Amino acid sequence: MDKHEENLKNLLSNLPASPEMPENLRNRALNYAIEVNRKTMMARRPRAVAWMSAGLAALAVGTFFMMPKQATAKAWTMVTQAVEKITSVQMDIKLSGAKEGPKRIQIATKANEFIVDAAGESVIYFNGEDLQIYDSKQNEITKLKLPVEATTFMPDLASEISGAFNLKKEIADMEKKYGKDHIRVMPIRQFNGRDVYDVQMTEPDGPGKAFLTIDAATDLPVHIDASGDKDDENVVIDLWYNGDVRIAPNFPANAKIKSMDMSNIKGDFPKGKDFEKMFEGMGEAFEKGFK
Amino acid sequence: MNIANPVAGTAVGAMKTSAILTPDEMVRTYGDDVWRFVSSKLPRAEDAEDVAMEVFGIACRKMHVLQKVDSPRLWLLAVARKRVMDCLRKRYRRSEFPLQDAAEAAAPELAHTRSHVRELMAQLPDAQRDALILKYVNGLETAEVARILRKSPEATNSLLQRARETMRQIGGEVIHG
Repeated sequence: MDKHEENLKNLLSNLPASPEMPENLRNRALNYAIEVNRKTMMARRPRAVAWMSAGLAALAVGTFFMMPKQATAKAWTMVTQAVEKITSVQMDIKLSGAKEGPKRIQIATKANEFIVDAAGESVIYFNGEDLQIYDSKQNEITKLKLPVEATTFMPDLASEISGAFNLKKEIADMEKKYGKDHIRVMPIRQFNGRDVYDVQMTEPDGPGKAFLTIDAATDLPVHIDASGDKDDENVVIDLWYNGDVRIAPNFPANAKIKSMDMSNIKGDFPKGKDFEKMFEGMGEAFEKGFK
Repeated sequence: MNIANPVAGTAVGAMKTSAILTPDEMVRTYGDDVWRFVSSKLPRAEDAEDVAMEVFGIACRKMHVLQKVDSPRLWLLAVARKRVMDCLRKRYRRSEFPLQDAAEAAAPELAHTRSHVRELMAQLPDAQRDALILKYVNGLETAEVARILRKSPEATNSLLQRARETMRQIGGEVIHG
C-alpha cells in the first residue's frame, strides 16, 4: 500500500458515523434477533407450515383408506362364514320354559380338552388324559384313567358331546328356519368399548324370534337370545372364543374321589354316541329353545 | 441482485460455513461491519440505523439461506448495499436533505473532515464509491469486493484504480497530506 493509498484509507476511515455499531442500535438488533430466534421455524415460514399441514392431512387420509378395516356394512353371510372357522368355544346357556324349569349348562371345548357342566348337578371334564365325572347327588368325582386308544378318541368325543349343542349347526338351522329375507343386520354400534352389531330374526309364520349380538371384529356371535313358539320358552347364550375360552372344573372341595384305572382294559371302548346319550336331556332342551 | 442469495453462483457460494450461525451471533459478529458500510453511505444517522435494522431483519428472516453461504459477512454487506441504494433512491424522490448528524454534533471537530470526504466521494460514480468503502472502510480484499459488486476481480481492480486516481485529483492536499 503506497502513501497515497494509506492517506486515502485514513481519510475514508472518517466516513462511518462511528467505527462500531452504536450500543442502542446493537441492543435493538440483538433483541430483534433473539426474538426471532425464539420463534419456531414454522412460525417464520407460514407457507412451509401450510404445506406441512396439507402433507400431514394427505398422509392421514391415505393411511385411513389404506388401513385394513371392518366392512362398514355387515352381512349375515359374514357370520355364517366366521362360525365355520371356530376351533374352540365356550357357551354359557340359560334355558327357561323347559318342563324341568330353568336350567343352566356350560360347555367349553378347546383342543383335546372339554367340559360339560349341567348346572353343577353333573360335570364331565376331560383334561386330555383323564376323564373326570362329578355326580352332585353322591358328591363324588370319578376319575377314569383311560387307555391310550380312548384318549386319542376323546377329541372326537368332545366334538360329539358338544355336537348336541353344535353352534355351527344351530346357526345354519336358524338361517333355514327364519329365512334370509327375515334376517336383518343392524349397523355397527359401540358396546362395552368394542364394536358390535345386532342381527334380528323374525319367524315369518310364527312367534319365534332371535336376537344375536355379533362382535364386529370377528363376526362371531357373543350373545344369542332366542324365543320359541311359546312365550315361556327362551334360551340365552353367552359365547367366548379361542383365547377367551376357560376350561377349569370347579368341583366341591369335600367331594369324594373314586379313581379307576382303565388304562389296561382291552377291547372296544364306548363310542361317542354312547356318551352323548348322557346329555340327551340337555340337547333336547337346547333344541327347544330354538324351535 | 438476488437478495435471497447475493453470492449465488459465485466462488463465495462454493464454500460453506462450518458452524451454524444464530441470529444473535450474526448481530454480534457482523454488526460493526454492516454499520460501517451503511453509515459511510448514509449521512443521516436515522437512515443508517433504519437500514442497519432492515438488513438484520432480512437476515433473521433468511437465516436458512445465511447459514448455507460461505461468507455471511459478504452476504450481509451485499444486502446492506442494496438496502442503502433503495434508501437513497427514496430520499432522492422525496428531495430530502441530510440533517445534522448526531455524531457530528457530538464531535464537531470531525464534522468538517467527514463532510469534506463525503463531498469528494459524492463526485464518484456509485460503483467506485462502494468499491472504496468496501475496500478501505470494511477492509475487504479486492476479490471480495468483486463478489459484492458482481464484477470480475480484474474489473474491480480497475474500478478501484480509477476511484483512487479520481480521489487523488479532486482531493488535493487532503489526500496528499
